[in-house]
Amino acid sequence: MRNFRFLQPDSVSTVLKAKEEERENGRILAGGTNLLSYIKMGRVKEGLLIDITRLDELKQIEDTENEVSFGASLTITELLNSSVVQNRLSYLHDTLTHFANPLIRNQATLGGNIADGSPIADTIPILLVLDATVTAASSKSERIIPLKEFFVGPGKTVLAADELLVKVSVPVHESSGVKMIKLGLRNGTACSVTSAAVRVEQDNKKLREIRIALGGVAPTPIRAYNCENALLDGLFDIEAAAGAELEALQQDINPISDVRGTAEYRRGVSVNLVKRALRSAAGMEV
Amino acid sequence: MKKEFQFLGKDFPRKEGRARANGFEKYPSDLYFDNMLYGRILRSPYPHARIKSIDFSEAEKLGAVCVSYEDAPGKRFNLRLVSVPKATYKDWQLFSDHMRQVGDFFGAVAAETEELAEQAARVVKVEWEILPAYMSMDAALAAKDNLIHDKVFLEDQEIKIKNNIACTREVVEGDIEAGFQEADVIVETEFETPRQYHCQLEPRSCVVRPEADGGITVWPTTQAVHNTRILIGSVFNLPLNKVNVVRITGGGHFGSGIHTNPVTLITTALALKSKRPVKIVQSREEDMYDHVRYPSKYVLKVGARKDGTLVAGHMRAYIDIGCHHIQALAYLGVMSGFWHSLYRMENMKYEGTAVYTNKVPTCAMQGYGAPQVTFGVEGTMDMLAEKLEIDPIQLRIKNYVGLGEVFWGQGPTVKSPIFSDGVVELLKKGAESIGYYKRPGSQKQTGRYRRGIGFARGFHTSGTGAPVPGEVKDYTTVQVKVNEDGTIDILTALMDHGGGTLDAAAKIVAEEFQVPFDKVGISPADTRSTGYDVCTHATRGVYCGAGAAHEVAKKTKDVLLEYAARYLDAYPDSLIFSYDEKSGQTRISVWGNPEKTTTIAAVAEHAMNKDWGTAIYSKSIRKVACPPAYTNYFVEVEVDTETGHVKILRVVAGSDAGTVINPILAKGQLHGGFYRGAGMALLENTSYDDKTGCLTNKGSMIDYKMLGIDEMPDPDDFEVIFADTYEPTGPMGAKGIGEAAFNPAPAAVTSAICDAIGIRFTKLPILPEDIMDALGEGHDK
Repeated sequence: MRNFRFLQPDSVSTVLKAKEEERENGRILAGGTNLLSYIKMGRVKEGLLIDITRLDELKQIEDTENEVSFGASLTITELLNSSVVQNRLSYLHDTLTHFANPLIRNQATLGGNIADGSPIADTIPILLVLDATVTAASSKSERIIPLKEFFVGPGKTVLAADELLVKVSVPVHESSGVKMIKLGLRNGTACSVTSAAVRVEQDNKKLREIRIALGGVAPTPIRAYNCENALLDGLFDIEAAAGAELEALQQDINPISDVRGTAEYRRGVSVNLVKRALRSAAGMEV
Repeated sequence: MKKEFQFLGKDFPRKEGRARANGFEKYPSDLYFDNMLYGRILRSPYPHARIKSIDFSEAEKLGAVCVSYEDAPGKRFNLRLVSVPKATYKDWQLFSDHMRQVGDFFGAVAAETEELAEQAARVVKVEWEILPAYMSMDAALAAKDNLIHDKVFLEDQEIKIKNNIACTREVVEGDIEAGFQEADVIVETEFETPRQYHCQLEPRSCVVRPEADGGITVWPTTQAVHNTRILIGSVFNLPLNKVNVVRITGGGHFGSGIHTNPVTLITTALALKSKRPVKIVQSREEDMYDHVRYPSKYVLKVGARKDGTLVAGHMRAYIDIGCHHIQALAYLGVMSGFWHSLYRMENMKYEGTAVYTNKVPTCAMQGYGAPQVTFGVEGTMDMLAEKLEIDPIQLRIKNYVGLGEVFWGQGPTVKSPIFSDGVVELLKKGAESIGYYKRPGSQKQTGRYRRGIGFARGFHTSGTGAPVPGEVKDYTTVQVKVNEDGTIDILTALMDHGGGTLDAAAKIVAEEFQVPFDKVGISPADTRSTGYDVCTHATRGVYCGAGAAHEVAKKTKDVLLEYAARYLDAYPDSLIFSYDEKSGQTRISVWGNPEKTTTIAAVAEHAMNKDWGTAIYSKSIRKVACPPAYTNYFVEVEVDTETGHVKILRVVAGSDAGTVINPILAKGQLHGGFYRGAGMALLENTSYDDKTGCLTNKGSMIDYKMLGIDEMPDPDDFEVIFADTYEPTGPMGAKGIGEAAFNPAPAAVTSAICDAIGIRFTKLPILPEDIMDALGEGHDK
């Protein structure tokens, strides 16, 4: 039997109190685009549904010199419509236009996309290369977690049972080139088969910093540290980046075969996606 | 050559278009009645199991009315009544304790609200005996016991099932051994096509209302109201005049309503037991476990002489039909027919085996067996052309079955001659328009994106009519009546799936009477008020259905002419109908005597006032042929060698539909048919988790991907060419189009991919991963 209770709190502190009492049984209902399908599939059968969609506290955008912070229950459409995102984080804006479809974008929230812990969440790879952090709050304390340390396994994150993801902070890298590419079985309303994001900082054509992140190639979204290091070590010549350095990527990824694609395919296209994202981020012809 | 018409061949808005666009159209799921209960179907979570016991007590405490195999009459039947009894295998029961797939049904509950029905369904307790499941044909064929069906009936004769073989069929012409000896080149290839889901917008649903006279009224999702009535009457032992099945607009069928859907029988069972109206609207998940396109796996061997003449062919097919017969025997028959009727071959042998597995029962879907067969046959023609170094188009022109020849697309019992043929015209115009002979080919291309142009041709039969009775029934009953103001009503049980079949009937009748389209109406129809119509399937809507309306309209016109002759004091044979655009009136005049003139309205009104009667006629009409509606597609694609994605850039569609009744709708059919055919080639399939027996998409659209509007070419890059043909046996020269619009599409897309990257795929769908795999290995797949 499905057995749910429903709570629509008027403040974040009420949410946190409810989380403290209910722990895992307190299910956060933000956009509901994941939660409702879990309920329908029978993966979630009972508990207290805590509706956070009406909390203005979680809908704020803070724009500071080095960083932009987003309230966790901002919807993807709200982010797309935000002038801060359009102007200061245009690459994020570009990525979000490929998020699911307009109907889902109207519902789904940034916090939900992260907290769900899906290895193929559409926002994660780009947030990883931007060195984003998330703020988790409980009734007792608040902590900041680097996004790269946030994911533990499919659907599993470091969020404690009494914690709520309240904020996502994205550093602004004025001089970086950033690109994310999503690959699904078709363009619209498709789950990613594989996705890749790259950020590069160049200094006179010399690579100063690089971030590579992928979705859909491991139990969690990942940073490709081996590949990043290989590229940095090689006194990177971007023109040649199509070459051997990217082979290190194979040590970073561990894809599986599923209904959307084979492991082999994911291994192969990962390299192609990273190569293309890299060239695009570096301002080269793709 | 085409003829000139007053109304045909011009674009017209659909009669029901306004209602559909504004949300006024009623579908079964829109119906509500006082005192109505909502039903939920009880389904097996196991792919193969037997029910030891069932306990409804908790559900009954919630006030639910429950039915199960314990109440069911044991009669066996087939849901599909298109074939004659002697060719109909029966393996269905209303409910059974033997569960043969995940989602198989053993009972149902009905309650006051949908929520309560859902709750009641969840508290039904079942004790299961799990049986070994056969999730592949190999596993099923190896089985000795615990068969999916122990026995079935062919008409009334009991058949013992061995190795889960549902039925077999062999069709032989000539002598293939001798034929292959004459061959200079032989190509032998295994082809495989997917289990494509119909994905009609409205899931199969039903509403049934018991009536005061002890009968019932049924609003089902169906393509065949009369067959639904006959089956309900037979399963529930009800006299047919107590079963009224209403023609109601369906939210799409694509073949999933040729057979009576199980939900219709289940809703009827609940309504009869509760004595209240009952409605069941299935979920998308239930619908995905309800029906699917026949897949196919076959080895095709074809031999040709050096000059390109085909001399022999051998097809050995194994069809995984899932857990029930929805007439696999007919499917095997049409596989042989579609193959044999594509290309002339004196010596041919078809061997088909239908195998039961613990999967979703397979049924007809747009094209029936033709897309499956055309995929392999056209692929083989391309391979032969390459080996023989003959232009692929010329090879086809040399061998295709065309004008004056006998063909039997609908299987060996449905033979008729071909009277119209636009094949050569369409191939030549298509090749010219897309630049087929200017394509670069795979050898000359490097870089990430590779372009290719391919083509394929095919056909569908316009119905299943033939000069002699065969395995399949085909006729339509129509009544045409001239009203007292000169408007006309057509009454028929013919269904319109959304392709404009009934509009076509109205337009043809309008042309016959020379009255404007909006003066011809389609009356609401149900089985009580209409004579039998077999079903709208097999692309028979326009040729057979509207064709029947045309024949009956001529008879009605004869009655009207009789009245007009009396009214004008002339002889009927001297009267001429003409439409006067200025006055909007249709005049009846005596030739050579221009002063002797009147209107249809005046004659009809006069005939009533003088008690002569109404100009009305009703008759059952069988067409004695089923001409091929030929189609070809030329397609240009772009293959992304970094991701394996295929983009369709351009399409040139060629359609030989005879007289085109409503060009805008006919073009729409080609866009739609190509769209689903390309989906079959590139994306659509239902696969299974062999351990659980569940669909890997879990009945969810998120993992049943179809092409999106993004993946289709810009409408400006989708050209349609209609052949300049006139079908002499058709209504005003018309043939069919619906399924013909689908059939060659998967083969054409495959051919274009081959032209782009030099790799020929023989298994569909061709997923991005298959392309990357093949590019990595550099050989055919």
